[in-house]
Amino acid sequence: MSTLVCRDINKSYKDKEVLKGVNLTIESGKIYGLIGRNGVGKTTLLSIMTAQNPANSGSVEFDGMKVWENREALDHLCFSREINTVSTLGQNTMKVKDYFKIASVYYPKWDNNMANKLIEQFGISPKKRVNKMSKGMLSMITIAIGLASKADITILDEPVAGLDVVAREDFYRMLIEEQQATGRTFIISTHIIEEAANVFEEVIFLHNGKVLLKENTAELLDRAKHIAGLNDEVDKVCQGIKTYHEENMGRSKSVTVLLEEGQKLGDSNDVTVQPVSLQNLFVALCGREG
Amino acid sequence: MLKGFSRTLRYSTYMGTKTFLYSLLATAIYSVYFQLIEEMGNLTLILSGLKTYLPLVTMMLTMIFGMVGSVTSVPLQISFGAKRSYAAVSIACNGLVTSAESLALYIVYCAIVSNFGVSTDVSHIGTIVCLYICGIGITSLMSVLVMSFGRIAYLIAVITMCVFVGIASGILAADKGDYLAGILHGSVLMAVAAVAFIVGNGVLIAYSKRIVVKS
Repeated sequence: MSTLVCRDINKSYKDKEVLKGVNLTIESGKIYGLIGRNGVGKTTLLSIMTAQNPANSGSVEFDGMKVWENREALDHLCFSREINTVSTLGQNTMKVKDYFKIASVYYPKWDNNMANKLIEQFGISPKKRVNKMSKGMLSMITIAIGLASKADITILDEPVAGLDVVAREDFYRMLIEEQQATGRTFIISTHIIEEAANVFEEVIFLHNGKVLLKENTAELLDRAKHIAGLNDEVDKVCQGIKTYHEENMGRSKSVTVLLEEGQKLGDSNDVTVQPVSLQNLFVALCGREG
Repeated sequence: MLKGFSRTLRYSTYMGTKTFLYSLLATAIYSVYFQLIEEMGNLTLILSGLKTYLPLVTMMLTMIFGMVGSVTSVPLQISFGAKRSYAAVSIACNGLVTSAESLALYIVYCAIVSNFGVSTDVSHIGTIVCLYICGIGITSLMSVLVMSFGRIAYLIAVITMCVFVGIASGILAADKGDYLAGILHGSVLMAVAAVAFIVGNGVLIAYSKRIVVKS
C-alpha cells in the first residue's frame, strides 16, 4: 500500500502566499478529485508533490522516502501536466512518437503499446507535431502519457480541458478501467466537477491555500443538504448548524448545510430538503460567500 | 545513480542522433561536391572559402542545435520525473554527444577532402580531440553553474566559452603558420559561440524559472 504524504507545505510566489500549511495523505488504490478555484494553488501543490517545484517549507514523502531529488521515489510518480505550446523550441517541435520515446526513458513501467493504442483511439497520428495540435489533442496526449506511465500514483492536471463530451466520457471510462485493472492511484485536478463526481472516490477541496476537506465523495454528498423555505422555518431547521451560500428571495430563503457526525436537522414540514450536487457544494463552500 | 545517468545519456543520445544524421548527410554531400569541383579545376575563390569554413560551420551548428535542444529539454525531463541535477547533467551529456558528433563530421570531411585547409594528420586530430574534451568539461561546468547560481555563472560561462573557442580556433589556424587566419577564425567562432551560448543559456534559465513559477 503506497502512500504519498504532504506535511505542512507552504509555498509563496514573491509576496503571494499560495499554500498555507497543506497537510494531505494520498492512499493507494483510489481516484481522487482535486477541486479548487482558479489560482488557488492546485497545480502548485501537485507540482510540489512530484518534486517539480520546491516548497518553501514542509515535506513530501512517498512510502516514507523524501520525494525531492529522489529517483527511487520519483519512479513511482507521474505528473502529466498541461502542455504549453507557446514556445516553438524544444519539446513543442517534437512528434508524438518522440514524446513517447522520451517518456519511456523516464517512466520505468512505461507501456508503449497502451500509449499507441490510446492515441489511435483518440485519432492522433504518432507523426503529428506537438505544436500543431489543438487544445483537445494536447489534453489527449497528457492523458495518454499519464495512463501509459503506469506510475503507482498518477496525477493529471485538468486532463479534460478542451475535450468534447464524447472524449471526456471516453477518458472517464478508460480511467476507471485502468484503475480497476491495476489498482493504481489517480489524482485528477478539474473544473468540470459535475460529470466527474461519480468517478472520484474521494474529493479534495483546496481553498484559501489550505485543504478545506478531503472525504469520500458519497459520504460527503450524504452529509450535504440544500434547505429551502420560509425564513423562520429554515432558521428553525438549521439552528446550531453552520449554513453556507444563503440566498434570500423575499420571505423565503435557501441555504446549504454540511452536517457533522451525529448532527440532525430540526423538525419542520414547511421546508424542502434536497441533496446537493458536488458542484453546488463546492460553490457553497468555496464561492464568494463560502 | 548510474540508472539516473544512463537515462540522461540515453535521452541525449536519442535526441542527438537525428541532428547528427542530418549533419552527416550534409557534410558528405558538400564534401563530395567540393572535391569534384576541385578536381575539375573550377574551384573559385568563394567556393574555396566555403570549402574551408563550411565544415566548421556545420560542426558549430551541430553543437548549437544539440545544446539548444538540450537546454530546452530540461523542463520536459523534470516534468517526466527526472531529478533536477540529472536534467542539468544531461546538458553536459548532450555536450558530449554533440561534440563527438562534430568531431565525427570533421573526420568524415577530412576523409573525403584531403586538403581541408587545416592539416589532417593524426597529431592534429589528436589536438582537436583534446580541445573537444576541454569543451565538454567547460560545458559540464557551465551547466552545473547555471543550474546552481543563475545569471552570473551564465555570464562567466559565456566569456569562458568564447575565450576557449577563440584560443582553440587560433591554435588550429596557427598550426598552419597563418596567424591572421587564426585571428579571423577565432573572431568568427567567438561570435558564433557567444550567440549560441547566450541563446542556449538564456532559454535554459527562462525555462527553469518558468517551470518553477508555473501555477
